[in-house]
Amino acid sequence: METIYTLKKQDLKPWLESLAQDSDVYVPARDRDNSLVDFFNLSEIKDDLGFGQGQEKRYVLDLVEKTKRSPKQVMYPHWEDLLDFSYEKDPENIEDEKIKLSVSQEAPNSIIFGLKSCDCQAIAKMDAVFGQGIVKDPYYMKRRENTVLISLGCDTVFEDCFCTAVGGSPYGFDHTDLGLMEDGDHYVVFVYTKKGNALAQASNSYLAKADAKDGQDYKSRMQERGRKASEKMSSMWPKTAVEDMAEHLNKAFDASQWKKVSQQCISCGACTFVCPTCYCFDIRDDKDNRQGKRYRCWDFCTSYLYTLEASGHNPREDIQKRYKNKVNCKYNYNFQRQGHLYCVGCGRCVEVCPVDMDIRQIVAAVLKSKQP
Amino acid sequence: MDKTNIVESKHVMAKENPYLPSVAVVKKTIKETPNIISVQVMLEDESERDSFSFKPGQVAQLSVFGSGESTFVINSPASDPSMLQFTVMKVGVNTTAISNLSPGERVGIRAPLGNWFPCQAWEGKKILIVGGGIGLAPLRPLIFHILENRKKYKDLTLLYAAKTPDDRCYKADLKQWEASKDINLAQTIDTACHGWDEEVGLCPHVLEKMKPSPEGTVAVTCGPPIMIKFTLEVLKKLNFDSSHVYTTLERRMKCGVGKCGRCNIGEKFVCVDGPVFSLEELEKIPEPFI
Ligand code: SF4
Ligand code: SF4
Ligand code: FES
Repeated sequence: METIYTLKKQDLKPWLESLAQDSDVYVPARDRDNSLVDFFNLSEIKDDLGFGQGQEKRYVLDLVEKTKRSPKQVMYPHWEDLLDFSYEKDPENIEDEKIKLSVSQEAPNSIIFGLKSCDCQAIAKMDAVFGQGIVKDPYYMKRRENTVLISLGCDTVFEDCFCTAVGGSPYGFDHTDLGLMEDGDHYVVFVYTKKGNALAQASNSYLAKADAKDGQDYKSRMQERGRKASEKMSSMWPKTAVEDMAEHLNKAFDASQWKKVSQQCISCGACTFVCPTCYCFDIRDDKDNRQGKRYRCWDFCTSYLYTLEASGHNPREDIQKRYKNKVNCKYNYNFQRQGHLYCVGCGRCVEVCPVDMDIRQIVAAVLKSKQP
Repeated sequence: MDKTNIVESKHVMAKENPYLPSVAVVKKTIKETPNIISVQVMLEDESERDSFSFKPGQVAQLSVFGSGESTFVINSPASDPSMLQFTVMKVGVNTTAISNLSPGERVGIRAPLGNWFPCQAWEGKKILIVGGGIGLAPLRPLIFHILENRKKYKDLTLLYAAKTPDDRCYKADLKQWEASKDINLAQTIDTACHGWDEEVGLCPHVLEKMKPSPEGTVAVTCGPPIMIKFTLEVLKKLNFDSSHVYTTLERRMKCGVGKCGRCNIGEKFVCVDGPVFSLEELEKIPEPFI
């Protein structure tokens, strides 16, 4: 789908607002109350959202900064009901108490606007977990099918970013539906999928088709911008041989280095909470009198409770084993299972860790140490 | 009569929603030991019951609604999937709720999950089964399968270890097997006690003394982690090849279908790639499995 459009910057606000009429549109914005940048549902903050600096609103659209959390919760909420149950007496036989199960799930049409390439890549990895394997996860899939991704090429290298080191690139548009490039007083809009195409066509009051010549020009400029951004990034974190990582980590499994590099971790789980590719969950029941629900919620493998068995036996009782599992999960185990790393180099875990654990340094240290 | 017609397992995955349990009714509870009980349940929906099948070694997520799900091996004979038995040690919230069930109560079942013992591949071989305590549960459907297909296998030996005579599960089965010519049963307890005339000593030691020949033999073990560890060491010492030694592993499981990430040992998921593993497979995984 080669169609390329342009969008005037002044039309961005009305465009997003028009999209918000029949979808939940998530936009990255800074909350001036706490200064954090995160994705917000446009219709919830609409009246308090400014589209440029200098406006006295609580929120301001921010298309440069990296959001504190990844947008994974749009498709994979932090908490989610799997089913409702209720105990019901059989009217024919009052002694007999039956159980009634029901499933109700909301999967609203959603659009995530302004996400960066790393977060798009991460969603593709989530898709592999929940959409492949011996069975699909119907809860995730339903939301995912109703979600459109509109990403924006990324020209800023933040202190903790390392996407190019793990196979990504700031203009990697390969998993998005629409890809945007900022260009003077407008955005250039590249269409990548059927979903993106449908959205673009339905937006014809805001998007203008570029003619073939301009299209060519935009495309080569986009490639050039992408190349520059990648170069800037790789000058900070050299590319790793992604394919060899798993093997090296296997060899370094018993490296003495692990102990040293992991002992600081306080098992708080913040890194998992912000990570766009961490997908583990717990399943629990909640009962009030004769009815209740079974729900799932995010979980994290650096927790002692994660592998604790009812008998008291814990196969990963110390933090060294747990942290080693986390690193291997991202750079080794999932690579063996799915063929890609489960880290997109967004750097959020590095930024958020209260005790300054830096997964990049740790991997480097372990790989250097090789054997015990 | 040989019963080989265990049909291809209908996975829980045939359902559109793998998290949605089937409702089952408790039919019977059996007190195995002071803190272990067995629960027999039957799927409530008749058509579901008729189409249900499983293979020896496969597990289920069993739940009392409101307490949550836990994983147990289906330990009744696979040749009769209309009644499913689970054996539970009372140690936590879920297992206590299960222990308190009485006939007529409803539970949730997601099953069958995971892989199974490659019984067919073992035909023509001698089978040595080493179980400890409640670890006899996963081995029980395997023993039944071999007994029901007796001619297809050579010698069947079971070494069963428990702390005390009272801590042994399935005492009725043991009694029958003791009398049967189809199975050689050896039992051991940790310390001698009055009225016990079988072996005394820890399972790995007794096994070493028994000196089973590895020739044409498949060994299968399950029990507490520490017992598995030392049993495997003894089997290696006795020259059993890793490809002929099997165990069935426990990990905390949640989804049971390879999504929640919970049950991994290295790159393997116990819920999908296991719970049955050959020692050969396990030796290839850098993360320790015990
Ligand atoms: S592991 Fe860290 S850097 Fe990698 S994707 Fe997760 S949060 Fe981002
Ligand atoms: S954020 Fe840091 S301290 Fe917390 S679990 Fe992650 S690595 Fe450990
Ligand atoms: S129990 Fe969820 S992945 Fe195995």
